[in-house]
Amino acid sequence: MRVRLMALVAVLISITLVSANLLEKKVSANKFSQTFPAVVCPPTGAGLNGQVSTGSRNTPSRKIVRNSSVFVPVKSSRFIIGADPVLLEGSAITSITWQSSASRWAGATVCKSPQGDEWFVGGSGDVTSKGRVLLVNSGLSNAIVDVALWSENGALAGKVFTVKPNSYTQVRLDSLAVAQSDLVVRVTPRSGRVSAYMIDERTKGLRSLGGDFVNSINTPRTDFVISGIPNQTINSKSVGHILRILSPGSAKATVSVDLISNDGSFIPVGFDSREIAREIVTDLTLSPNIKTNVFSLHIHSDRPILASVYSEIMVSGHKDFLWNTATTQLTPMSLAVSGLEPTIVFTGDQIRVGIESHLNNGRVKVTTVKGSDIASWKAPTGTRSIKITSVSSGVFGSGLVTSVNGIGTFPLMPGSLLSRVAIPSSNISVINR
Amino acid sequence: MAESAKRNDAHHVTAILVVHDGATWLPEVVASLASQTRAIDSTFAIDTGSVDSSTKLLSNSRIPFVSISREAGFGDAINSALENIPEIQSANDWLWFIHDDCAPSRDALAQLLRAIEDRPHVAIVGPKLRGWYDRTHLLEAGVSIAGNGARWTGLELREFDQGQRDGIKDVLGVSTAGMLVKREVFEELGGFDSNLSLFRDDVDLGWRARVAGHSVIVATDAVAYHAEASASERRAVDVTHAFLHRPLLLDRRNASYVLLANSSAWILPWLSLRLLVSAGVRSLGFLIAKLPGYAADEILAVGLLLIHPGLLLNARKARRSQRLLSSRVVANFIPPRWKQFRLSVNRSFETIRERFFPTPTPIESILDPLSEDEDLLTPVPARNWKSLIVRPEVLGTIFLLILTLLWSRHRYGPISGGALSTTPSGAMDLWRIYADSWHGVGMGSAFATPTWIAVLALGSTFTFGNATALVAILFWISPILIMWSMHMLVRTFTARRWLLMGASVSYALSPVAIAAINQGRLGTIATLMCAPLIVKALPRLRAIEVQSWKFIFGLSLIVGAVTSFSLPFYLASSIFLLAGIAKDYMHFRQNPEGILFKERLSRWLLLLATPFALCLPWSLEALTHPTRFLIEPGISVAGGLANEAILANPGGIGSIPWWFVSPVLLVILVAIFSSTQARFYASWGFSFLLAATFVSSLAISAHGNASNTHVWVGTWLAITTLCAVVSGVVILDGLRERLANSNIHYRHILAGLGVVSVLAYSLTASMWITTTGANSPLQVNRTSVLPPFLGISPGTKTLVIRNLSVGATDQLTFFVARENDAFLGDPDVAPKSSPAIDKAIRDLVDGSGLTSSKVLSAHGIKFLFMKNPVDDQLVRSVDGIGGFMRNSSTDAGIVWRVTGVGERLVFTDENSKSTPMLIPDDGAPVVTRSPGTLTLAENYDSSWQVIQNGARLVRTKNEYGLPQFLAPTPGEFFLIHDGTVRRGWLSLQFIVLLSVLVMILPAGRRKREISVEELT
Repeated sequence: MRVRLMALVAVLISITLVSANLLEKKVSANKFSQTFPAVVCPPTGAGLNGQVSTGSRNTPSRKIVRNSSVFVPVKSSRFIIGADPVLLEGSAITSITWQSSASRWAGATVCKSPQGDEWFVGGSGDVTSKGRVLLVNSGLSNAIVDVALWSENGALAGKVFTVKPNSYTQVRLDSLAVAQSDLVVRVTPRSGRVSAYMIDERTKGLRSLGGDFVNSINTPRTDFVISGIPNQTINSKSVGHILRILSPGSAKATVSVDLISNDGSFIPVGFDSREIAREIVTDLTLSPNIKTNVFSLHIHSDRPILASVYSEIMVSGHKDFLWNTATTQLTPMSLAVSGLEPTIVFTGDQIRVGIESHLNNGRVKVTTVKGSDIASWKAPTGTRSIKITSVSSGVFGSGLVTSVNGIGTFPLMPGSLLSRVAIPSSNISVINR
Repeated sequence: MAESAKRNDAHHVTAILVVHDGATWLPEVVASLASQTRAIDSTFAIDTGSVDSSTKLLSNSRIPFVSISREAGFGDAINSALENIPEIQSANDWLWFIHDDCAPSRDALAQLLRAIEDRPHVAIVGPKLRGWYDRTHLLEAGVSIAGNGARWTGLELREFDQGQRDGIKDVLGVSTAGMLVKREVFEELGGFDSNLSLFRDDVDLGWRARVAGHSVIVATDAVAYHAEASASERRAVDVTHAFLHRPLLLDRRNASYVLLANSSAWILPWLSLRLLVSAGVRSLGFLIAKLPGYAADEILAVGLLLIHPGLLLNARKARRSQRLLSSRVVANFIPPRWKQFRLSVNRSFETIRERFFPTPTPIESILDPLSEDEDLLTPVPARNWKSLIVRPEVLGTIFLLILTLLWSRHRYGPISGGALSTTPSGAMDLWRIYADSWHGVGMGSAFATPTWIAVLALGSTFTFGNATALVAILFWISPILIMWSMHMLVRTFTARRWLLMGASVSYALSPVAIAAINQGRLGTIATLMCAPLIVKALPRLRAIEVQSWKFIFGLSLIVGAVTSFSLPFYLASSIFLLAGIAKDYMHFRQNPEGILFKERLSRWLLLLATPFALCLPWSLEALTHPTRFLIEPGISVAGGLANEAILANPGGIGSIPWWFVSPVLLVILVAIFSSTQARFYASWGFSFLLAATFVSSLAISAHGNASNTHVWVGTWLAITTLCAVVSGVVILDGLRERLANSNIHYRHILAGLGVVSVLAYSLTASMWITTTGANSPLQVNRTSVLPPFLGISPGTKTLVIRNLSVGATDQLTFFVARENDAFLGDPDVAPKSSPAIDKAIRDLVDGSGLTSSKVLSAHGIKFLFMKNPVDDQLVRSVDGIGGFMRNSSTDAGIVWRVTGVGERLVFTDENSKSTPMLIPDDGAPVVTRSPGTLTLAENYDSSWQVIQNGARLVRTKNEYGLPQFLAPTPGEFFLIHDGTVRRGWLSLQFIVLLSVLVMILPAGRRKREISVEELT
């Protein structure tokens, strides 16, 4: 009898413990929400044409203008953007803005969500400059923005701008940094949903010297790649490039540059362990003796630095230039490229990138780009969007878009990162000790 | 006897003996009349239709008599007698009224006549009345009537006659039992009032005699022994005016009649009111004493009189014709109110004293007369301080007291934390919270406030209305209360004082007790304190059918009290009771004659239903939210996991670490194999332990916490621990002797293991609670979460966002606060978070919420407060998203003002222009100047009403589910939350509570149920 009772007790305890542990609901302290924050596409300046490629005709959008709060579908996979910036509902597909001035210049940039800190390595404040910084506040309260500047003469006095709700402001570079040729601009919103853009446009008298978007870099780094620099050769000789570097820290940086091209990878003369003074924008002329029409730079530094490459080109008989900026390592992403048909340049030791081209007719072309050091791929005609489905590690990318007006480039980086935030939950303990 | 024949006075006395079924007392009465030292000149008897042997006795005693109708009253009887005796001869003719249950002493008549000898103005004289059975019991020495109609004798309860009232005194009246009245005056006054057939006719006659200019005295040298047979319901009252033949009814009716017929006219309204009120109060008293018949008598008596105003008018007219003096001449004989009050208080105290400290009956020993020398041999108990201190009870209490002093060192002051929210300062605040039909918690709720709020409010009486002090003291002394509660239980199982104390202290230091105190778990603490008292009553439930209703209701009240704090306890007790019912049913099916199934079932069901009814409407609401039966009061703080629960440790923050393994499981496992009654308790303990283990694996979202939280199983483990302690005591009681007399075997090892584990646990637990354990979540809290300026404007809603530690991680949480921190009861009535607000806040946090401020503003939220430490990214997001204007940034946190209207009541006109409307505190109306819509930023509830010109406006829901009212015309509006239903429920609850209390209080006895010895 006792043995039976003992067995019963043991069985009951076992069953209870096992069932309780099995049934035990996993109580997660946090639940997370994953969303793509809304992105802002820059306004089109006077005398320019602007188009935005989107992933869907139904992408909700609204103009960033006072008293506008209603989202409406864009109704086109490539819509014209006017003098007001546009807020697009965040999605996994990064939209590209293309702006051009007839027979003068063209440039591309990604529509991006508000950022905390943006560095623009490019632009000039000298007499040729018609460049400007656009500060777009897509929030519903005033935005306060700090703008800090560096030039060839060192750090300049920063300025603070207040941008009214649901509006934007543009600041001329030559007013920010009078008579300063080589600029690096840092935009830091103190409050507000601010997206910043820089357009570098230069003229000499009435003659246009070209123009381009200067894409932003989020943070200085010690190791990065500037991918897809177009290399135009005239008389079998590469036109000049300028590598602009800033070491924003409190110490000089020692920088080494690897040039990566189909003609081989090497360190250009004078770019091995080159010292860069602190807080002085340094322009280094780069004239590689290569025949390929595109190359990339892999830059190492002992201190966090910022860098981009200025390249001059001739398009349809007129001068243009473009700014290639550093990109982050490529991850699977999607790009809306309606009407752009970009050439994508990948840089990396071993390149293996899976690409899906979604055509306007609904078809999908699947391609795998393989190679080493540098490889390029051009989107087929009629491509609405491209999706990078897989990518090997250590690969960087950028897009090049050519038109009769000029060439534009953009880094292959998502404009809106999937943000994963803890969902706050209601709990009355909040108002208890 | 020689003296008895003497008649050396000029008086002629005719004794009139009124008989009505008085055979019990008549022989002695007749004998007393016959043996008077001053012989009665003539005796005549009136029989009012006796059905016993009274007439035969009268015949045998040769007293002339006539029989009249049974319905005839005392006055009628006297009138009949007067018709049958000779006419009045002289002014010295006296009538001596004798009841058939009143025996005058031998010299009664002589003393009465002696008293009037030198007092010619005296018309009425009466003897001192003593009890028939207890002849030292003083019944009356003159009588009067109080302003509330009570018969006033001025005597204390069961006053012993030691001559303290002796003397010849002027009185308002004397009892008709033994009343000697001058015949001339009697006839002049018209005799007894025919409307007073019985009772109060004596006072009425005395009153009338006094205002006619005569004197009424009591001569205490004359004594009569009165059985008060009619008043004490020893015989039926069959007189004409005795509606329903109820003596009390007749007495009260006649009392009112006497007062209203004889008093001055100007005092009548006040007198009528006083009679009505006193009738009400007395009927309430009778109801409490469970004497509904008497209660009805009180009300009916006044009613009967008031529906016959003609009677009173005639009576007053008749008295006016006889009155020579003002009615105020009797004022000196009407007892003042303070005197009545003092006597009532004295009587109440005496009753209570007698109940708790009964007068000991002296025990007489046959040795007593011889014990003078033996006293010297009796050892005198030597008690000194040392012997007192080394008593286990004292040592245990001192030990626990010192431990508590150290343990509670962070709790000296207003406490909150853990599951306990802030206590409002005053008991009135708690009552208000309890009575409110709408609670301003979050977006508001109409949930029923839990009953424990009312219990705490009631308990605050002991701290002079200071609820904060009550809660602090409760947690401070709870270990000692828990210990003594267990002590009361286990002393029924053992007389070994060290074992008793050890078990009680172990119970007070059990893991569940420590965790409950550290986490501020009121429900578990109530269970730990009260469950031993309930378990103590369990053995009586084996014979539940013979238990009195008083016991059943008393037990129900205790269960109800614990239920009010802990619905899990009600669930546990219901399981036990249903098991009892099921067991009875099985027995009944097997042996229908064996047990009194219905009697048992009715008591089981009462035990089941009464606690539930006592907690209405909260308990009823729980039926629609069944998870509440698993949740304890207060903020939802996670308990431990199943693997902790199996060790009788409820877990959670502030609980003792699991590896302080308590011996509860071991004791239960050992006791379950016992052959003693320990097995019974161990079996229940084991069942509740398994239940606790299983329930602890569940996670529920409740009490203002939207996240699923592991259920706290404190109540279940409290019962388990209790069962383990009782089982252990039963096993250990006498075990030492048994083990000492047996060879070493596994019992020795188990016993040793058990004792060592108890000692080891108690020691380590004591050390833990005085060190690490003292840093519990429940601590003194003198600061508020919300910055003070957010609470300046009443009802201001502030969205508070804060990172809270949940286990090892931080969780971003929010709540809509209104001007202050969470008060007691707020978590229990907190509504579910609004989906619209949830989304707005989620969007705000992830940076996508461009309309968050609009949504929050629509819900009346004026401020957003992010408590430090803040998340910089989140701050940037709020700064940037728009609609939030920074107001301040301090050490406490950052405050933003939400742009928009953000008021509790918003008026939107036809042009969609919104205007905030201030709701006046004084109940003044809200005024609008155009048609439109009124939107209330509170959760929707059908009791929200807006009234314009006495009509209710149409109520709808807006896009966020908030109530809005269509106001087609401008004007004044009153916003109310209709609390009629809540008030109705509270009334019902009060009635249930009152009924239970009435059933528990000692029952009054009808006079006929009181022994005659006790009465007289």
